[in-house]
Amino acid sequence: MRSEFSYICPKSLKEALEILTDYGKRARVIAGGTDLMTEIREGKLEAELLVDITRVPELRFIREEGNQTSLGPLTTHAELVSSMPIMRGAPVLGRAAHSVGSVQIRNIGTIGGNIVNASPAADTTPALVVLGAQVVLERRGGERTLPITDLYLAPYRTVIKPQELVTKITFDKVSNGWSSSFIKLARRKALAIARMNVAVLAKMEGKRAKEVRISVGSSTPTPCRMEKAEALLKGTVPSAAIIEEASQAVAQEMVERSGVRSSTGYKRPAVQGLVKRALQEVLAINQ
Amino acid sequence: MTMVVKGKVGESIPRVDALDKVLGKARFAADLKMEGLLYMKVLRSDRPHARIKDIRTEKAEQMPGVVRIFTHKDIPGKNRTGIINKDHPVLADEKVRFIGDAIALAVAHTEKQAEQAIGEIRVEYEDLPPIFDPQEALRSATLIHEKGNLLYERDITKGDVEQGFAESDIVIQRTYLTSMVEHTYLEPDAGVAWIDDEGRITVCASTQNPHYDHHEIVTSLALDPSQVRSIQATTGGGFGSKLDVTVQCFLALAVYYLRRPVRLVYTREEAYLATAKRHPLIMKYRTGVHRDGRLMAMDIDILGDTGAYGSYGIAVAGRAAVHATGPYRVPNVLVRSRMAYTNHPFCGAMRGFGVPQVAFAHESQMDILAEELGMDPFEIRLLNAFDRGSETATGQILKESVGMRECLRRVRKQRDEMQKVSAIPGKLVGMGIGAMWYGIGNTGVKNPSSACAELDHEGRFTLYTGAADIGQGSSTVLSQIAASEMGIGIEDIRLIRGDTALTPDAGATSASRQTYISGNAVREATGNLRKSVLAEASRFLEIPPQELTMEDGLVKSMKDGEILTTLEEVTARSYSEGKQLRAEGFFDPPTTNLNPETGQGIPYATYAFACHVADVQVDPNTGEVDVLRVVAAHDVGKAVNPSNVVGQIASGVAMGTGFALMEEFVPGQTRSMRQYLIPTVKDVPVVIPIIVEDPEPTGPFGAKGVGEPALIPTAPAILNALAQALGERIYHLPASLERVLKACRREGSS
Repeated sequence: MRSEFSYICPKSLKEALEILTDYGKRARVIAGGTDLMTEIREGKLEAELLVDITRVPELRFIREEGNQTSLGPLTTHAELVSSMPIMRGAPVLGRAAHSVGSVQIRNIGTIGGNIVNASPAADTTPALVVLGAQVVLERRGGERTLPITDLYLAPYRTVIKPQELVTKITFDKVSNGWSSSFIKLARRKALAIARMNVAVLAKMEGKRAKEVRISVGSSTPTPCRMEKAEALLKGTVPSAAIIEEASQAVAQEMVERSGVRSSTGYKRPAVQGLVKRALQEVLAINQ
Repeated sequence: MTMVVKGKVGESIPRVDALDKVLGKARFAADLKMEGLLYMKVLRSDRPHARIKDIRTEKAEQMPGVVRIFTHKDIPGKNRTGIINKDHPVLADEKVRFIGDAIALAVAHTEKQAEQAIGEIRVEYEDLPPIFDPQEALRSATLIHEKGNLLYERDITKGDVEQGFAESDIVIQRTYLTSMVEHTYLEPDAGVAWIDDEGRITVCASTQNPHYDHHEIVTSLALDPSQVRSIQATTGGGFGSKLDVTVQCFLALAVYYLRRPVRLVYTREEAYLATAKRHPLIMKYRTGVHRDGRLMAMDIDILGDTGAYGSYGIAVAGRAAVHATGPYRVPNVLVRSRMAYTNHPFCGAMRGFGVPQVAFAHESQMDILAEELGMDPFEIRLLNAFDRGSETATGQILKESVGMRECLRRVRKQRDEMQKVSAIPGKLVGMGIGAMWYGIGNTGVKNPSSACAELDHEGRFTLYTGAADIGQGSSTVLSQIAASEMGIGIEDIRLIRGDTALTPDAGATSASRQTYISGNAVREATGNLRKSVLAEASRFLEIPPQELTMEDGLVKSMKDGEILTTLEEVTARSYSEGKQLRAEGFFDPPTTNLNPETGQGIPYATYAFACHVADVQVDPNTGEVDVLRVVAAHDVGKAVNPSNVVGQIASGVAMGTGFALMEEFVPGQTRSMRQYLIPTVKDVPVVIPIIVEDPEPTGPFGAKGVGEPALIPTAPAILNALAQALGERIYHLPASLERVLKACRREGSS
């Protein structure tokens, strides 16, 4: 039996925040609905009121401000894929968005939804983590800004309060001298939830890797950077041996953070292979 | 009549029903709207195995909008259905046997009211120990059905296997496992029922066999056959699952009492929960070969899980046994093929009926043997492949239309001419072969088809067939056969299909049988009609019938092609004399029952043959597989509609790719397409189809069938290609990311 609820469609950010303040836990926010609609269909949505924010004009934008790019949470995956500021300033996010679902899902699913749903398999999250994205949370009469990695408590759980709304996502542009990779591993080549995914960002200075950032999805309890592997690579002249070592370090860090589970037998070698492929691509090292 | 006559046998014309589907005019069952329509929902068991102590419906009956609640107590006739063995209650009475068993029906003014009512029915259960493993089922003292947990056993004995093994130089033994698979047809099961103008209980449903549905409705309601009418709605795929009754008896029961139109449309989740699956098989193969490559002996043990009910389990066990050797000559064969009941969802017919499973096993065995012998995998197959005069494991001599070797040769040549696949750094590549044979029609039992052809007083031609076109194209193929036989164009044929009040019984759309069996019935009906027309023309023209021929809707002189009269003129004159032009056709393939002990006999009149070659690329670090291309050769006897054959081949490769790499239905976990993945266009390889035509003399214009053969060789070819790429073999389908990576690591490649 489908979930039953009331529905409201605020026309401004102010109105939306008022409603969320009034209803608190009794309200749920819907935008693209690609996650929420399945909850509703399965009768699992426990909310009195569904707040549809898709008509809130303040939440839909892609802006370049100096060295920064900022996104409204209603930006769809399709918009990310076709956005020049994103493809220029954050191609890793464009590739991640392109790997989401199908054309139909990318046309309706939003980046804000992908963030707040907090699925460990979310495709844009590792990209946002390596970009060092900051997320602005607004509530009536106030706002706070958190690094994306501080948003998550556990799979499907975040620090976002029921009265709060994600209103902006910002990150520094990474065009000059940076290269990036995003790879998704799934049980089929489209319309699939990631078994694992990896985002890598690297800046070269001459022959040396000045900075490398790595994040893997569906591998750690909450999204994070793989700092041990990053430290191994930093300042080195990339080689097949170092990449191998760094990939192993990622696998090891994954197991340290997640513990050994039934899926570890597959995930440990697979994450290593995935990270290796991404690093080879970014650091232009062939086997 | 038109001047340019189109649509003869051998022409790639568009499907006769394509335009209506593209324009949205075709009406599927869920599209049918009627005045005063009521809605039905089904209460299903949430226990795998339990005795029903009580069903309390009082509260549900009081719910708003509820018209009536039905339980097994309301069924006036026999509460058991099943195409082969009758073990499946319409509504559970004493027991439930799987999660999803139907217990009660709610009929209300809206779908939501019906759903709410379902939630208020209380069932009191006494749980029984569930069994989920067929091996355990055969040992267990817990009985799922009173007659025992063994549904069926089919044995085949030929020669002396132990002697054969003694004469073998190499003997290999392996065990192969496959998973439960969900058909995932596009259109979830649906139907609408009402009382028609003649007072009949009429059920229009998505189905592969309207005449069988009719039979089950009649039996469950204890009515005279004339009181029931079953119509096939436009059907959005079935792949075997819509051979069982789904919504039909539920709807008929409600209309029997309510005399008002009722509708039932499954959700995707309900179609997953409540309908048949592909049987998972455990296959133990022991194969002996002479050092020169000749197969000497096979000892095969097959055990299948048929789940809670028989459905087509007996047919799958029998067909798997007959086809277990693969398309090869083996002098000594011992096969034991069994099906056991468990408390899993019931398994039934699915494209291939057990042959896709055994093909995975026998083709893996062939490659292992080739490697042990140091032989080329094509050579070992060519050496052993069936040819004219070969004897099968059941002792049948194959006389005509044995295109196995031709398929092997054509595939090999095609692949040799194509660019080699070279590995990109970090990836592994492999090539693999899969060969198969497939008996057309049901196994060693009667499975006739009948058809009717008619010319009205204005010379308009109508073909009546019970054959359900479920998207595979039988309406088009049967129309082409009629057009060729009658000498008229496809656009001059009116087709009435799948309505028990109007059309003769053509049997099931299953076993790749409609082109061959119903094609023959249609050809005979049309041929008889043509004879009548020529006899009439002969009478009017006063020319002996043997000097007349019919072409492009015209009666011509056999000698010089002179046009003598038209179809319209002949029919007009006949009807003016009170003479109707109508003819029947019938065909039942010549088969014999298999000996109950030895399995010897002639199970099928003819066989299709095929060979696929797959090229794959594997990432040894993650287990990801790309199937790059599949070359697929099929001996279809005669391609009635070549583009339709190509369509079947391409769809078979797509489905076979899913069977090979990703499809696995896990009872209790798989609820919808969220969990159950079938290939997308990005997962499907390039397909290079090759049509081989080794004509079958008993087929219509030489045709056999291709529907199921299209799927069968793909998974074996992919698995053999994976084995070549990895240097390790996978024995359990699907070859998921985990299984592939595990095989990579066994080999130690990285």
